[in-house]
This record gives sequence, structure tokens and C-alpha cells, in this order.
Amino acid sequence: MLAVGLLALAISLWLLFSSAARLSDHRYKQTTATEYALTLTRLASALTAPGAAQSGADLMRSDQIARLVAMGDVQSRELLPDKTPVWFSRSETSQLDSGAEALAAHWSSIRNTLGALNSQSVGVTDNGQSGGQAGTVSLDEISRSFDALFDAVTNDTLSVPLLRKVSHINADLDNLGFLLPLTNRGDFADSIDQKIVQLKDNVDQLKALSIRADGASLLGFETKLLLQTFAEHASQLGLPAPAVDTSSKFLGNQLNPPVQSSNIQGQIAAALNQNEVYRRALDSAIHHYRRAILGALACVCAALLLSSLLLLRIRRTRNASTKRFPQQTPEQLPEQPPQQLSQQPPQHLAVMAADINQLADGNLVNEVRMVDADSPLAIQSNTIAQAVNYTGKMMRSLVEVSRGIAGKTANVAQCQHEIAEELMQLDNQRRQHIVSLVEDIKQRTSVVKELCDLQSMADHNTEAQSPRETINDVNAVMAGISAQVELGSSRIVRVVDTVNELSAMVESMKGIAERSSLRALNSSIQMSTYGDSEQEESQFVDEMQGMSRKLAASAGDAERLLSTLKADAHAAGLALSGCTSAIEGGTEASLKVSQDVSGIEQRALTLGSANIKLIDELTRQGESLHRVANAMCEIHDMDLENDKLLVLMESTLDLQLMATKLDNSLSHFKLTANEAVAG
Amino acid sequence: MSANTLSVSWSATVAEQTHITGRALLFVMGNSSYGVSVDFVRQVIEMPAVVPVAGSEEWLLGMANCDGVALPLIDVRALFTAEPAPEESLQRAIIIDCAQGTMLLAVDQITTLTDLSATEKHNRTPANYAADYLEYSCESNGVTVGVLNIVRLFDAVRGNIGKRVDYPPAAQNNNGESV
Repeated sequence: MLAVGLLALAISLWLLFSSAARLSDHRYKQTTATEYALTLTRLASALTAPGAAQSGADLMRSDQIARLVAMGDVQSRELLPDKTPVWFSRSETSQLDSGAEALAAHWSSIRNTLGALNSQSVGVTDNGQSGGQAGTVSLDEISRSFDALFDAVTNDTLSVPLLRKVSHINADLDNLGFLLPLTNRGDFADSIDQKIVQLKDNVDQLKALSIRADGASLLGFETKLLLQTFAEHASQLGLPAPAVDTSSKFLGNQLNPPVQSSNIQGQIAAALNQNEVYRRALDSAIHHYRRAILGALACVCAALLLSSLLLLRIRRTRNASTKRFPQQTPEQLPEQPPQQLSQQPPQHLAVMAADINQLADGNLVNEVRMVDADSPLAIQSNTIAQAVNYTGKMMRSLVEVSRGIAGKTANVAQCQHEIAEELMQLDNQRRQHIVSLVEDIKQRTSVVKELCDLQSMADHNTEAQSPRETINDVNAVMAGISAQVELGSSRIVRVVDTVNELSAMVESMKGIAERSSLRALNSSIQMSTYGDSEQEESQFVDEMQGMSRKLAASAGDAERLLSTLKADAHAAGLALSGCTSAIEGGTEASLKVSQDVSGIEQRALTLGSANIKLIDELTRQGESLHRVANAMCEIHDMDLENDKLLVLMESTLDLQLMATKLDNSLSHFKLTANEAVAG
Repeated sequence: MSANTLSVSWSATVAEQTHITGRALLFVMGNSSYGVSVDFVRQVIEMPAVVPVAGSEEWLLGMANCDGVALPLIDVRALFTAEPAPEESLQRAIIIDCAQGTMLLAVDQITTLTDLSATEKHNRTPANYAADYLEYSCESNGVTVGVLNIVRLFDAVRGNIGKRVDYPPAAQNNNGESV
């Protein structure tokens, strides 16, 4: 019964889902058919719009028609027939498929007609126009139109020669764009003409490529319009550009003969009629699918009701049997992790033990007492009861042992947990210690680096102590010069004294000469007074006066020489005073240098103290490294303790596994005992 | 005193001879050159120390001790031109001894002792010379020399020397004694 119900349920469900899927598909197709009808209606209205019928080119320039055609392409593809389920009626299926195919055929004919109109309206011819001046052309417009043409061609076609030609034209336009602003300069006139000829050639080749039947079929409608625009712009540049001419030869798809726009209207009307037929078929199919879905839903409900009734009955039967002998398989045992198992007492084992005790002490014994003691059944029951009693005892002992193991395991787990926490703390302390040691070492390293720099500075500065000897030599030389100058000064003073003495002597000589002269004069006066001869008088006076004059002249010469000597001595004294001042300046400079040397010595002393600090720091670093070594030894010992703890954890895990195995064994044993009791 | 008297009387006779012989001692005073007959010249000495005479003329430089005799020292230039000579320019002093007396003439420099008898005497004394005190003027070695007339010079000096000098009354104490 249950199998039949389930089978009916499955079939009903398949029918339900399949009908729902087909229903949604047909609803979508119905919507698409409606949109398709709308598209056809819009296309017909666009084709019959006022002014559109006069010129095919104007008609086909409308982007609206292009968009409608694109929508019709998509919608006709979506309306294509697909596989219909077997259970559906053949007549309706064939009707739907034929309707869809007819719709596709109608749209194909409409598309072909529109393509023929397209080729007819944009036939590319060579109108052979030339002329115009380069200066009157807006090269920007040409470039913009060519950019659009370039994009359209690259989107429409994969023809490599066509793309290459278009790229050449693009390069020519760039060159012209650079050269045209320089038209006034005669140097670039030839280049501009050359580039224009090159552009003409490229346009000719592009035109030749697009004139061919396969080239024309590669280009789309928009591309052809853009090509026309570019041709119009390029014609102003004096290029033989392609032009639109609907009255000349047709170069589009030659397989489709030209048709009249009225044929399109008829085709569209036929397509609309076919679409209406298809929609009706879809409506009937949707109606059938709805009925099928309702039937399937009814079947599903019936199958569900039947299945629920059967399941209720089965559950009642199972509950009755389970109430008497509750069964537990090893798979149904509570799945606990070993750690949790070790921490909790085995409750299920206790329950099992209680059941066994109940069986051994109560029910079974009572049932055995109800029958005759001598009957074989009684004997067998007694045997079983004894076995059950024995098993119960074993179970009690096992439960006790299991409880002891569980308690010990819990203790071990607790200890393990505490040890793990201590290990975490130790690990954190070790990390902090290592971090602090690393920071300390970094600081020491920076200090050592700084001190090394100071040491290098000290080495550099101690080299400057050699000038001190030079300064001492300079001081000695200056002292010698000063002594020489002092000696010269004393000698000059002596010379001056001598000159002064000589001056005094000369003065006395002059006085003597004057007195002699005066004395001679007086003698002459006396001689003349007392009547001596004039000749002797005059001779005596002349002689005396001559001597006096000579003496005076000698005294004058001596005085002049002495004055010269005095001036020289004075100049020498000035020179010596200059030397003295220079020596004083040198002495001051030497004093400054000595002060500088003293400063250098002071710095050397500072550097010496820095060196002492360096040594102290190095000593501290040595101590720090010693502490690091001790810490590392401690860490090594801690790692050894960790190894011991790992061994202990492994032992604990083994104990847990053993307890689990024992628990499983007890469960299995209980099952065996239950089966034995049931047997 | 008798020697002086004799000397003066003897000098008067000698003066006539000197005038005849024409030997003179030439000296310089300022820019002018003068001469004095050697018969009236006793000695040429350096400028002696003088004691100023209060209330005297400006040309009287003072009294000088000359061999124990006080003699007046005359600045001839001040006497002639009423312009005293600079003190440092006066280097020599000539002792003039004649019948009118003895005196000292302060001059700048002694030029020489020469004979002016052969020189041509000027008819007219140059303007820059004091003609009242000159015997004559002549050219000696291209230099104009004015020979002094000692008598007139003494007369001029004597007219001034020995004048009464009114001193202010001396201060007296209560006992009538001068202080």
C-alpha cells in the first residue's frame, strides 16, 4: 500500500511540475507573441508613415524601423518551436509547432524584403565628383564622421583588407589634420598635395572594397549611412568619394530582387494573422496545462493523505514495540567528545545497568514465577535469569569501573587543563621576556653605534694634536725674534745715546769755535788799539777766523751726520717697534691656537669619558646577553617540561580512547544481553 | 775813577785817529749792517746777564756786570727804530769805551773787523738807517754799512739814563720802620 501510494505521489508530482513548466513557457511565448504582433503593427505603421513611401532611402534611414526589425529578430527566435511532452495531444502539439514555424517563415520573408529595400536604397556608386578647396573644408567634421564610420565598420565586419584600408584613411586624415593649418607655408604645400593624393587612393580602394557584392553585404545599414556622410564630407576635400544613388545600379544582395513596399505590408498582415492563430493555439494549450495541473494537484493530495495514514499506522506499531524493548544501537549512542565523555559520568551505562537489574530482579522473575517451575520453559527461564543476574553483576562492576575511570579521566583532564593554562602563562611570560630582551638589545645596539661614531670622531680629533708641536716651535721662534728685537732696540738706544753725546760734543766744539773767533776778534781789536802793525793783525785774525770757521764747519758736518744717524736710529726704532707689534700679534695668534688646542684637548677628554661610557655600556650589554643566555636556558628547561606534558597529554588521550572503547564494549554487551533476553 | 776819566780823555784823541784810519767793527742788527770805529771798541763779549732797570726806556735792556763794573746794555735797534729786537736774536755785546763813558751795545752778530777808509761814502744815508745816530754810511763788499756816531749815541743814552725815578712809598709798620 505504501509503495503504491508513493508511486502515485511521484507520478502526480512529475505531472504537476512538468505542467507548471510548460504553462510558464507558453505564457512567456504568449507574451512574446503579443509583443511580436505589436512589433509587426509598429513596423507596418512605420512603413506606411506619410513621406516614407516616396523614397526608400528616407524610409530606411529611420532608426525606428531598424530597432523594430531587431526586436522582430529576437522575438521570432524566441517563438521557435521546442519539444512538447509526450502526454500532450498530438494535434495541439503539431498545431503549435506549425504555427511557430509559419511565424518564423513570415518573419524571414519580411526580413528579406527589408534587406532588399536596404540594398536598393543605399547602393554605392561613383559619382566622380571632384573639386573644392582644401581650405574650405572642415577637417574636424570629416574626422568626426570618419571616426563614427571607423567604429561602425569595425563593429560590422571582420574583413581584414577593409579594416586595414579604413586604418590607412584614418592615418591620412591625421596627417592632413597636422598639415592643413600650415597651408600658408610653401614648404608644406607639396606634402599636403601628396597626402591628399594618398587619401584619394585609400578612399578609392575602400570604395572598391565596399562596392563588391561581398563587401556590401558585410556593411550594415548604419555603416552605410555613415559611409555616405563621410563621402559627403570627403567630396568637399576634392576626393572621389562614394555617394548614395538609388536610381543607379544595385550593389546589395543580388539574390533578393527588389520588392515594393506594398508587398511588405501584405507580408506583415499575413504574419499578423499567423500570429493570431499561434496565440489561439497557445491559449488552448495553456488551458489544457491548467487542467493538468489541477488534476496533478488532486493526485498529490490523495497520495499525501494515503501516505500519512500509512505512516501513522507504522509509527503506532513501532511505538508499541519500542515501549517494551527500547533498542539502542551503537550508532544511536550519544556522540560526545572524548574530553566531555571523560568529564561526565556514563549515564547511559547507568540506565543500561538499571534496565538489566529491572529485568533480572523484577519482570523476568515475575514472569518466570507465573509458569510452572518444572516445565522446560521455566528451567530455561531460570537459566536465562541466572545469566541475566550474572550479567547484571558484571554490568554493575563494569559501571563502577567505568565511573572510576571517568572520574580519574576527569581529574586528569582537569590537571591537563590547569597545566595548559600554566603553559599559556609561561608562554606569554616567555614572549614578553623575549620582546623586552629584543628591545633592550636594540637600545644597546643604538648606544653602541652612537659610541662608535663618537670613537671615530675622537680618533679623527686626536690626529689634530700634532699642530701643538708646531705651535711650540712657532712660539720658540717668536721668542727668539722677540729677544733679537729687544737686543736691537737696546743697541739702538745706545746708538741714540752716543749720538746725543756726540751732539753735545759738537755743540761744545761749536762753542769753542765761537769763543775762539771771539777771542781772535778781541785780540785783533786790542792790537789795532795798541798800534800793532796791520799786516800781522790781519794775518792773525784771518788765521784765527779760518780755524774758527773750519772748526764750525766740521762741527756742522758732524752735526749733520749725527742728525742723519739720529734719523736712521729713529727709523730703526720704528721698525723694531713694528716688529715688536708683529711679534705681539704672533704671540696673540699663538695664544689663540693654544686655546684651540686646549679646546681640542678638552674634547679629547670628553671623548675619553665617552669611551669609558662605551666600555660601561658594553659591560652592561654583556650582562644583558648573560641574562638572555640564562633566560634561554630557562626556556629550554620549560620546553623539556612541555615535552613531558605532551607525553602526559598523550597518555590522557590514550586513557580517553580506552574509556570510549570500554563504553562501546559495554553498549555492545548490553545489546547482546538484550538480544539474549529477547530470545 | 781816574782811569775812566783818563780813558775818556784819551779816547777823544784816539777817535780822531780812528776816524782818520777808518778801521771799524761791522755787526748786524736785524736786516741792517752797522759798524763802529774800532777805537771805541774795548771788547766783544757774549750776551751778559742783565738786571732790568725799573722805569727805564725800552731800549735799555738792563745793567750788566762787566769785570765788576755795572754797565748799561743798550738795544740799539730799539733805540733806532723804537722796535725792540727779539731776545733770542741778540747774541753779542760790544763794550764801547769813549770819553763820554762806557756802555754795552747788544747786537745780533759780529760780521768782521775791516777798514772802511777806502770805501766810498754815501752822500745820503739810506732811508732804513737812523741817520741821526750815524757818522756816515758806505758800501763794504756790496753791503751798506752805517757807521755809528758814538758821541751822539752817548748823548742820546745819557739824556735818558740817570733820570729820576719816582718809586712808590714803601710800606711802614707801627714803629715807623719800612717792611
